[in-house]
Amino acid sequence: MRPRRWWLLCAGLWLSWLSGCATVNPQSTVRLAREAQLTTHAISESLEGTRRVLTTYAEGQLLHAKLSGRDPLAPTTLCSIRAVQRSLRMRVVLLRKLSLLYDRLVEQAQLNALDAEAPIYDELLHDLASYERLPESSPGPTCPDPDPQPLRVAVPHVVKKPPLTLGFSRSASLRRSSAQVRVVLEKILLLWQTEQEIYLAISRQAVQSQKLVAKTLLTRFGMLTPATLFAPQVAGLGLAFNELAYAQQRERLPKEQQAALQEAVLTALEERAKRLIADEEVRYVQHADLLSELMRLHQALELGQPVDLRQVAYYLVPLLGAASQAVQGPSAGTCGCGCSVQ
Amino acid sequence: MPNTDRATKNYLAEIEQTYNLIEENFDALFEKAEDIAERQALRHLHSAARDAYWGGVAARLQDGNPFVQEIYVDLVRANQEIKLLTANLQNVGALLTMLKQAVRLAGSIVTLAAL
Repeated sequence: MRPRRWWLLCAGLWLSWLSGCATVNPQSTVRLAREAQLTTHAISESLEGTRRVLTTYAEGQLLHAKLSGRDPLAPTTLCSIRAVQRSLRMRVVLLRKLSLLYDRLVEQAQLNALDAEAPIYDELLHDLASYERLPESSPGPTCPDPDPQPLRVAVPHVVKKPPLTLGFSRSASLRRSSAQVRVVLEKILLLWQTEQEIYLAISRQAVQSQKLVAKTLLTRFGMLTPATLFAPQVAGLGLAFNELAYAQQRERLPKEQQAALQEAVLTALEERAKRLIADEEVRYVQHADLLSELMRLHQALELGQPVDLRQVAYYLVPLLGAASQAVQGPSAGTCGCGCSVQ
Repeated sequence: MPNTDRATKNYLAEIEQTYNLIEENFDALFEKAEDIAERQALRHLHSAARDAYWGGVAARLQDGNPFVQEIYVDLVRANQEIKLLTANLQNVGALLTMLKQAVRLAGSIVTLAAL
């Protein structure tokens, strides 16, 4: 029995030594860092989109107040919206710092940076710790506060000549940096999951507001044409919705046909609004999945295992498409729910 | 220990429900209102519900206070009542009274449960 125990002990020691000395592949590190930067870009674009949509919401409420007899936004409400925008901006800044941390990891993998110590890492941890103390939403002399200062430009560091022992220590240095990034990712994921519901609530209200303005324009003022809604229905057959003909014909239509047309557009509006919100919900879940996947890949990298980025790409491709769409905004003359202003 | 996640989800959802109920029925109620006073009351309620909602979004909520939980239950009940009353819009006065109660409850939750 004793030799068997010794054998098990030796095997255990050998395995723990092996895992501690697993070689971190620099190429995999670079590839993972690049994909992670795309992820942070997609997430920060999504947050920027949510922040921008709040401006549209505030304007929409102002317009709707004049059109429908509602009160305009109260200063306290405006202040809360400003506070939410400011908080969102802070999260975007945080994600950009994470991207800088990945830049640092790439430099390390490419032998441009020798030390694992990066000031941006300490800055990020500090930001994450102060995350909970977001600006107060109550009105007062400080409301609305100015936006946070723009991201400081990192001072370019001097590239030192690599020492002879670098080949021996680089793997350990990369492993340590990857673990640091993983800690940050874990904290960001936790915050994302905590605040996801709030982001969704904002998006829901933004869509709801757009829908109500569209409904008012359609039913009370007759200022919307269903061209954008009907165009895809006829375009595949080589036909086009004629807006001029629609404008001329509309008044001549019998009342019940006018009502039917309006009802059809309103139904489509409701459906589009629901779909927009559902898409947004899916997107937030995908962001969380992506962050989890990145954490898993960092772990694999640190253990010297192959890094398979296919899963990240699977989530990332549609998200990047959505992000670029959010940057460009909806096409001119159309509202988010698919009607065009006449 | 306060559960911020669950509170944010539940409380905010109910406050949002109150706001949405007023927002979606505003035009119909405005038309049905019998006098200027009722219309003015409706405007104020809409504005207050919107204010409570955005206040709730801006401040993160927690459910450590058992009294807040009681208010939340009352708000759920009030929202259900409003849904029933908005189904036929027969009694605008009663509906406005119920809306006033719901908005008060929503405002109280935001004030008491904010971190």
